[in-house]
Amino acid sequence: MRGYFFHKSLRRSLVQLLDLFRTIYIARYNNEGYATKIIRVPLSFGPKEKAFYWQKSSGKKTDEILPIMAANVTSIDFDSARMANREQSIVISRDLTAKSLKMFKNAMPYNVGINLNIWALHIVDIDQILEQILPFFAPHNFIRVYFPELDARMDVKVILNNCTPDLTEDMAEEDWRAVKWTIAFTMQTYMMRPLIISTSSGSVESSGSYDEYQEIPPSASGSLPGLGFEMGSGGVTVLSSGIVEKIITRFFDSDLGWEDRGTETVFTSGANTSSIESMFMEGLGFDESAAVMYAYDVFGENTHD
Amino acid sequence: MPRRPNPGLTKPKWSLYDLNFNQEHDLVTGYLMEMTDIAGIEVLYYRRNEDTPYDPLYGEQTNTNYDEPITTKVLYDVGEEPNLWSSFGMFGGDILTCHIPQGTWRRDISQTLEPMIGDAIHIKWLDREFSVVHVDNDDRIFQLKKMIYILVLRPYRFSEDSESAAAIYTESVPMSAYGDNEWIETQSNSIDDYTDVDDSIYLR
Repeated sequence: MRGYFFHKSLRRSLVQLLDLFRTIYIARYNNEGYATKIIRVPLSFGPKEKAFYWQKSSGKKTDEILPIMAANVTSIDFDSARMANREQSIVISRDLTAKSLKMFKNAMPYNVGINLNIWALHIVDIDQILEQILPFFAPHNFIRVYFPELDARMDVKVILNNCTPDLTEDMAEEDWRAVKWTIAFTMQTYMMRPLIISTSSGSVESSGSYDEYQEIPPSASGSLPGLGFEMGSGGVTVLSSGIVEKIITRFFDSDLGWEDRGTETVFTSGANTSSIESMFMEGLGFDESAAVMYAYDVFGENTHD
Repeated sequence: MPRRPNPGLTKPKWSLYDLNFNQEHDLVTGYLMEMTDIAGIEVLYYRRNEDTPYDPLYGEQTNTNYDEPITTKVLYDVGEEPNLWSSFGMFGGDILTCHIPQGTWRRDISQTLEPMIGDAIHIKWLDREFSVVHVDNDDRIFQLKKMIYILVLRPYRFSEDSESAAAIYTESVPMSAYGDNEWIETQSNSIDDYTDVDDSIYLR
């Protein structure tokens, strides 16, 4: 059973995408060609609530103040081409004292369609805005998204698909020209999966599937989700983790063996017992001294000269 | 075969209604002006400066200038006044039909010039600004003369064109649309501020 979690995968990706366009400027030039004014183009994500717009416009003014840019989400599609091993765990941290791991499974790849709508009074304003965006996409660029609760950082590819004008060409008496363009982007982002807190203190074995994880509410206060947790928190835990102490007592019968000893004393394994076989099968922490002990323990052979 | 002129289609000339010393015509003109002065709405009329050069390719002025506003009175009726909400925000889609007698125009604004598309009007009581998007004459109402200008008005679009264009805006708030720019910057920096990478590959 999964617990509540909310990593703000979509929101964080959107903010980082909008961050690309928050410093777009246009200039006004006088008749001699000298710039006389620099204007930063307002950017917002929309649509917002009517009440928001009403309050921001003091409830009265409905003037068009241009240029302006507004982004909106047009689609979210699964991207099978970027799908990786969904069962692969990415370890965030390990606490050797508590014998616990923090990890999450591979994120799910999704393509988010974004339209950046640009509205200006003059075509030359559109030219300036486009020229500050298009050169940086070939046709892609990268943004970075960090998830502090997962300690995970992703490079997200943003692809510029096309630019489409929406110009008023046929104008009736009461019409006047509108200069609007739309730039379509595809943001190849990821949907992060729940955090796994894996400990060795539990009594229930697990195969590592999400289905077997015990639900832990964000506040860890009981079986029901608690309150007061911060946005972005939440996770699950699995009992009986794969973290296993290397239980072989090292015997070093020569100076050479001492110098060649392994420095790792703890390793991770899929096994839930502290068995020497798991150490061999995993191949972790396996050194020359351990091989001697393994041969003696499993096969009763003394391979030490 | 070249087209020959057809004198039979020439409109007749009405010499009956000569405007010189035509007291009846002056009476109607005066009536229209008086009616507008009594019942009209006071506005500031901004004439678009014709000396500002156009971009010949795009056919637009990015440095649109306006002459000093002139106070006059007009009669107008509202055709539509919808508020439109979109991702850009809330905007008015008003369509106003404004009537100004030619006598009033000549008295207050110009003896020789006519209203133009691109002029601007600030309606005082409404405290809103409108662009003239169409200019026409009313029907012949007396002695086959058109005596009233009809102006179709749409909400003015602000775009920092010039000081005089900015002066049309009567609000005290900065003339900039609402944007999330600063908020986005703060939020983005808290997510990842790119300080540990060579951000020359990023669009910053």
